[in-house]
Amino acid sequence: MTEIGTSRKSARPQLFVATVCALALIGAVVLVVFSKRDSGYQLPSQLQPVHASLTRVPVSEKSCIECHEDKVEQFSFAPHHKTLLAGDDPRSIDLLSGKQFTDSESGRTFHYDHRDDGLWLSSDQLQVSTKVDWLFGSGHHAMTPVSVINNTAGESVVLQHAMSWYPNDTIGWTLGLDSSRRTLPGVHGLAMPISAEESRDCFQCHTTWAPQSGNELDFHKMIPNVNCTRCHPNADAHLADPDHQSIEKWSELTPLESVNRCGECHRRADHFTPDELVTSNKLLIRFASASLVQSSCFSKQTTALRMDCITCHDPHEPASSAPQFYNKTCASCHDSAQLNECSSQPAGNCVECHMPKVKIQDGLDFTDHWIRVRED
Amino acid sequence: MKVILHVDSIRQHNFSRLWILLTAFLLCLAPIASDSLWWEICRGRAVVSNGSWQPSAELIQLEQLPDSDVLAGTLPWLVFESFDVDGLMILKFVVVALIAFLLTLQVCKLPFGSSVAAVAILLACSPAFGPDHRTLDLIFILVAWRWANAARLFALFLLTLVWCNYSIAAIWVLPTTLIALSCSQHSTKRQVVATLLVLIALCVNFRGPMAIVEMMRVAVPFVFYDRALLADSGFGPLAFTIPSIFAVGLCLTATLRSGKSYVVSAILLVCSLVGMLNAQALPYAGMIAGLAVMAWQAQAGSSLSDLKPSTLVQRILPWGAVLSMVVAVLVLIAGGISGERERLGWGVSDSLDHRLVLRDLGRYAEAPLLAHCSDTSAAGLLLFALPQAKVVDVAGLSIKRGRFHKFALLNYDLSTGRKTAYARSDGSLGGWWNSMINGNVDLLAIAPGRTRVFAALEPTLWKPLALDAPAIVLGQAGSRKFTRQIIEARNQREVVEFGGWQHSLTASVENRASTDFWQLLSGVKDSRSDIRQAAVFRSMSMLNAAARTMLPVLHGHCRPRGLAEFVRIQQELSWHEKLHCGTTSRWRATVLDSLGASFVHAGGTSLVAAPTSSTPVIQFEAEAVRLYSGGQPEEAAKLISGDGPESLFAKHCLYWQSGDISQADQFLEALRVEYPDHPLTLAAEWERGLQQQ
Repeated sequence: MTEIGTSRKSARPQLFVATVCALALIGAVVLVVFSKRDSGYQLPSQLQPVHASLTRVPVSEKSCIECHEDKVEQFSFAPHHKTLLAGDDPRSIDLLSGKQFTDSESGRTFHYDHRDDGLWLSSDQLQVSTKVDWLFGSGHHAMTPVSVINNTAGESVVLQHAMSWYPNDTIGWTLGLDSSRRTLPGVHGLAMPISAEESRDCFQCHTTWAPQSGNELDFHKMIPNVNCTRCHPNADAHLADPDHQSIEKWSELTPLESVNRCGECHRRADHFTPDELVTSNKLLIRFASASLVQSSCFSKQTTALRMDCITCHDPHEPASSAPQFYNKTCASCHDSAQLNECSSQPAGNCVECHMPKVKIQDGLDFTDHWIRVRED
Repeated sequence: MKVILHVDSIRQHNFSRLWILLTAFLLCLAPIASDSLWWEICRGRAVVSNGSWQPSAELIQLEQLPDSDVLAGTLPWLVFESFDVDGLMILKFVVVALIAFLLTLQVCKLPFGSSVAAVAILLACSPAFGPDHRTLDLIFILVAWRWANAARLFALFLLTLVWCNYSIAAIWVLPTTLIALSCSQHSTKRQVVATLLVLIALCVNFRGPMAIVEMMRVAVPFVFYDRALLADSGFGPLAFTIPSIFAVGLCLTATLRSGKSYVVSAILLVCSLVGMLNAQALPYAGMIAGLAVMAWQAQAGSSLSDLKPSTLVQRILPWGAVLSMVVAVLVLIAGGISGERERLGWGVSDSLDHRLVLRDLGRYAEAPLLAHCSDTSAAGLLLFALPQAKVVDVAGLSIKRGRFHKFALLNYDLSTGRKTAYARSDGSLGGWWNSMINGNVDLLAIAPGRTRVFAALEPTLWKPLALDAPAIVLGQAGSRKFTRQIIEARNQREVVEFGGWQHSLTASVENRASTDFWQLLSGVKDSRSDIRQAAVFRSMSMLNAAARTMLPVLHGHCRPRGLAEFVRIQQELSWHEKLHCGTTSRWRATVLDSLGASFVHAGGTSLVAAPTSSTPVIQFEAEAVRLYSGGQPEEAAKLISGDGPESLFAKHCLYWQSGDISQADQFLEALRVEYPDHPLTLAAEWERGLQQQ
């Protein structure tokens, strides 16, 4: 090697050239290591959707049982614990097998049939069948079957079935399905393909963990349903050192942070444009967390009189259906004098008027969470 | 050190000069392909024609601050304004010739070893050759090196002052100065003074000392931003190309040859790493490293006349190196093995053909529109065509100002189809729809290479205003401003996808913005823009238009890259067949099998066609498949016998892709009459657009 500032008479140009050649080869190897990929890249966890940011296997529910047996048992009855059901699960077969729906407008008949290789959706008027791989939803409002296939990039793509199961034990058009799709031929008449990215979102909201293997979802490792760690993200730290690392308490979040945590899946207000956040927008009724923050009850709350989703709903158990429970919650902020100002039902049902159930379609009601005095 | 030049040395010296200048000429003789060309020209126009001292603020919606590199683009704009594209090419030649000339001055005393290094430098820096600021940056580096070597500190100060007002890459004056001073053995005191002077000069601009921070952000963006996002913006790690191999080779050579001068070693190592992690900076790192290597060669006093070959290897190796560089130059000028480089030619690259954008957007020239542009090239082209318009942001400027993540994540959401809003772990909000609506964005301008974006936008309200521009501009359906243009594009779409349109390679070559000397010499047409157009059609679900575009490419000369795109189209066709009717046709499966391609969804069992009445399993002739993948669908169709649904479907597809609509209609009618309930009848109707999607 020649040092800077020195000259060496015996320097050999061929050595230099040899060095260049050798290093060009090394450079080529370095290039292979550093070179960019053409398309598709994985974002770091902090830039991913919040529900997709979990990069390692979450803490098992069994670990939680050790100390919180009653809570875990209580949670097992909650709708969040039943957000996803495998298509080959006997409960899926019980729910759907033999169910049939005939559309009066198009005359098409759809039916779910249990065959040797699973549960299938077919139509007498369409020359295709599609298998039920998963059922989305707890059944409180509806359960929507889907099929999963791979696209040309090897990504998992959800085919959302045109038919959903409703609590009155019938099947009917899936909510949100564009009516123009109801007359499409072939596969499109049975199901709607969803983009790969949005397909991932579907699973990531309905599971505790939906990892990927390459481009496709890894259903073998996936943990269906929403478990403890989905809402308590520091569970692993708490498990490692329970004496010093307490589990994150939602009461320590601001009310908006708390509602937005639910809104990651149930939609946040900032997911909408201002012109969509109006009472006349019936679509908003489906998205409780986005609606709630529009309410005066939310915006006028004080530190002492806090309001967020868990003020009324304990996520560890099914939501109460008793009016008295909600009246009592209302009374915790509104004193009896204020309640007596209500001209309709001074001692009656607050929710019935201020948060009524709205019929979205046959067999499907949603509670409007935009708490307000209604003109009608 | 005094060197006596012998006759042999003089000969070598002349040969070296000729070799360097010839290499520079050949590397320069290619259409301009610099992504930032039109962006810089627009900036120059804002400064020169509009008299603005904040050109970025005039062009970018999110921009309010003054620019440190306010003069960037003024030279190309002045030249373009006076001499059009030819002037830009001449400017490119002049600037590169100046680089080559300055390099020959470095090798005047030592012809052999350092002339190899000089040619290596030219190869390493060739991606930056153009009429934009990057080529001028290379000249600034060369001049700064010479003046630092000669300890002309005041001249260096003035040079830096001009440089930092012209280019955001002026920060490279620091390593250049430090290494040059070390190589010429100037005292530490002088090095400190020079560094201080340079630092002061870097602050003399409209941004003051903040310019240094911004220059650092652009030089080492991987320190400030996520690497995955940078990779998609042109500021990511280097790609595997011949110039980058030479640049890395020079960087490593210089670092290892710096010996015991640890400070210089450290600076060179940092420059090398910066170059490897930021492809934009690699030519600068290669230039500095190359100059250091040449300086050490000069000090070592070696020349060809010193060489006393003792072994065959020692005799052959130097000439082997020369030969390998000549081959590298030839490969580069022939279009490059990667197909990413322009071929020998004159003009502007097809990917920057401003005439097509002017054609599409000319009617909106006076409208104050706002656009989101995925790439700097698209932003430049759009702003050039629409002088009254603004773009939301561009990659380089967002990196400079520290807001790159917002820009890149919006592009990411666009490419992955994340339309609806969602929360990210860092608290920010994703989803592209709200960004467009809340930001009152009128247009999207996307570079044709971003096929994932077109695929993701296809089912949305954003529709293209034209199909074949170097920046595909999309407007929102329903907006009165763009209704007429969207309908026109829709009509074009009908013609190329469902009409009797046939693609002609000759016509496409004649319409190009550049003259392809390689084609004139060899007769081989450049099919890259045809392949790119096919990819755009494919991503817009115009699969038959894509196949029609590829047929003449395959028929002419079946380049591997062309075949790869053809396979993707076939895979996409098979996916659509499966998605529409639950099964893939036998013909498509045979074609994919013969091309050695997998069709990944074939294993999917959750979607099946209803059983049909039994039809014989048909085996297509290998010759038919070969003719089809060789761009001769009509000839292939003639070899298909039988009148079962698979045969009729295959013949229908082949005639239709060949543009023979009447023949295709006959086979479709036969399918409908003979096999009305067969899934392939439905598939044929889907592909013909006879079924609503």
